[in-house]
Amino acid sequence: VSQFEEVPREDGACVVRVSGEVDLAVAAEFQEQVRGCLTRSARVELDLGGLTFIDSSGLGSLVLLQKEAAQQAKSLVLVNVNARVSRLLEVTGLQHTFDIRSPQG
Amino acid sequence: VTDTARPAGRPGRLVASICVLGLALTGLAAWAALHADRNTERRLLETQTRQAAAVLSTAVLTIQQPMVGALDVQASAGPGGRAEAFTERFARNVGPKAMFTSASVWRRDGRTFTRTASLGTAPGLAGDSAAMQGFLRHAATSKTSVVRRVDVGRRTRIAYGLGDAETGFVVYAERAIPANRRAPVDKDSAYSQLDYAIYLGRTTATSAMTTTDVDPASLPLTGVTARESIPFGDSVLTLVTRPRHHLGSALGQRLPLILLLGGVLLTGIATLVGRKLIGARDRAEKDTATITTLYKRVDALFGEQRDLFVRLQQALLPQANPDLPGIEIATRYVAGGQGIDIGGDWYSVIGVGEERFGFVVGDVSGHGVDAVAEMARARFTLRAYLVDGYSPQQALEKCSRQFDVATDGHIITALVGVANSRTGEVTVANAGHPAPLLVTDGTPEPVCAPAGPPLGVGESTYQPTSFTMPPRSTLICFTDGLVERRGEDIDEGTRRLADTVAPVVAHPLDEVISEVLDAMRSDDASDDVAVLALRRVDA
Repeated sequence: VSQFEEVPREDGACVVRVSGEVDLAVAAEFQEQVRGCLTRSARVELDLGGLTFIDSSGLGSLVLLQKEAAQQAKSLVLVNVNARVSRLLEVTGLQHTFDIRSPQG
Repeated sequence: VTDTARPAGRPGRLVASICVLGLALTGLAAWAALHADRNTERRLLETQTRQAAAVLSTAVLTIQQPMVGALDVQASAGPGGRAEAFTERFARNVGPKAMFTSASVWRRDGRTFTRTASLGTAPGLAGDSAAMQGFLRHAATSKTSVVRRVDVGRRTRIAYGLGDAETGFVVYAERAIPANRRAPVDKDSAYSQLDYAIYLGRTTATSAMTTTDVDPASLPLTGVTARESIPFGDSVLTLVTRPRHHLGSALGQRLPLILLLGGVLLTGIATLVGRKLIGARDRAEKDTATITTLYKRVDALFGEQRDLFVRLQQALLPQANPDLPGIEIATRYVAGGQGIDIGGDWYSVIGVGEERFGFVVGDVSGHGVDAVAEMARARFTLRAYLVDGYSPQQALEKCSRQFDVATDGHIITALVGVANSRTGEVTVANAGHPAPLLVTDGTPEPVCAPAGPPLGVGESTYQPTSFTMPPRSTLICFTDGLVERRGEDIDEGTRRLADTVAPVVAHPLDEVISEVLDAMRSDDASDDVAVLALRRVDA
């Protein structure tokens, strides 16, 4: 149900297309994938266009990755954030925690 | 494992049954085949013996024929007979290689018989002996030919007499029997497959035996024999036969043995295969039993572990809510329905001074015992700040400096409030938590409490939200496990909750919680839920 597809881009950024559900069951796998990108690229974009559900563990993973990126002086950007996820981030007080942009912005 | 083990004797008995049944069937089949073969043998022997008897009858006729001819010649010649006619015409029947060794014609002369012509060797019986005269008298008066045995030294002869009572002529002839009385049989004759013994008369005493193909000392023939009587003059010839070898088909003879050996072999194979199969089945059953037992144990261990975690969770939740005048309190924690994944949801109500009290509903991300431990830390830290008199936003801000997802592995959402039990004034601060529902005059409305970041994100600031609970109004605080549903917007869950609460909010507060939980949660919901409800009542 969940898929994290890594798509390299010419400008050196690493794009991870997140689709399906990100919950407790896949949180560790998700973190590993994105962490791998963070070690290779200075800029990692998480494309959340295909994200259908994210629970508190998923949100925790996003926060953790955000903090790790900041610590390494790298940027973690959320792109293609749909209305449902956007509302969820607002309700959970995380809308200012992340760098949310339109694609390649 | 032992409770499903089979009694040790049962497979053994089953294998023994297979063996016994197989052998019994084998024996039965072999016996039937043997019986059928014996019947066939007896029938074939009787048939062949009848054929042999028919051949013997023909031979008897062959012997009598020349004697009848000779008697006719003498009778037609008149009272004196014709001695030269007899010697002339009968000579070819007499000689060492001919049918008879001796032949003669006798004529009654008053009381005695006088020989008128003779051929070959001297008769075994002397002409004037009482035995000869008696035999001739008997022949003259008998309607058939007469036969008797005559012993000449060690040799035996058969004497034949054929007489004519009217004319008084008697033709007498003797036939030699081989010294050992043995006559080998021709391959193509009716006797080719038989051992035989021919007796003169109805007795089968060896002394009465005239011809046989076996050693006379071994007589009488034993085993399966057949017997036929052939008329022979005034006596009979008794033919006793025994098959020289198996008369029927070779298969018929061997079938019983083939069936016996085949049956025993098959029974042996069936027994071995049966033992193997039963052994394999027993092993499979034992394996299944072991696996089932292991599963049960694992299940029991999981159950115990889950019970332990739930007890830990319950122990870390408040044992009792404070008694506050003018405020009715109801709280509930429900663990996730499956597995051992207990969560880190909690509620807390704390008396702070005379009319003031604090309350918290929170949720640690993730599951398991470390989530519960993190919950305990968050609960007691917030409680300490509230007891110290800090406002909700101050308590959260202080906490935000002490929790870090990078070290703790969890983020924590929490709704923290401080209220006046007399006036109903409430101030809340929200760290990423679902907004509570305020039900006034039966109408539920989400409290607009803008959320700051969850604990664990880092040092944050929070906005206080103040409102007043009207008398008899109800404030319902909850964790996302109550409203969260995959594939649904978060606000839809909140609306469903409002729709569920509205018709039941007038019920006793504890019942309201029960009814809401029943309606909102399915039995297999994986997430845990904490609910805290406050109602203003008359003091």
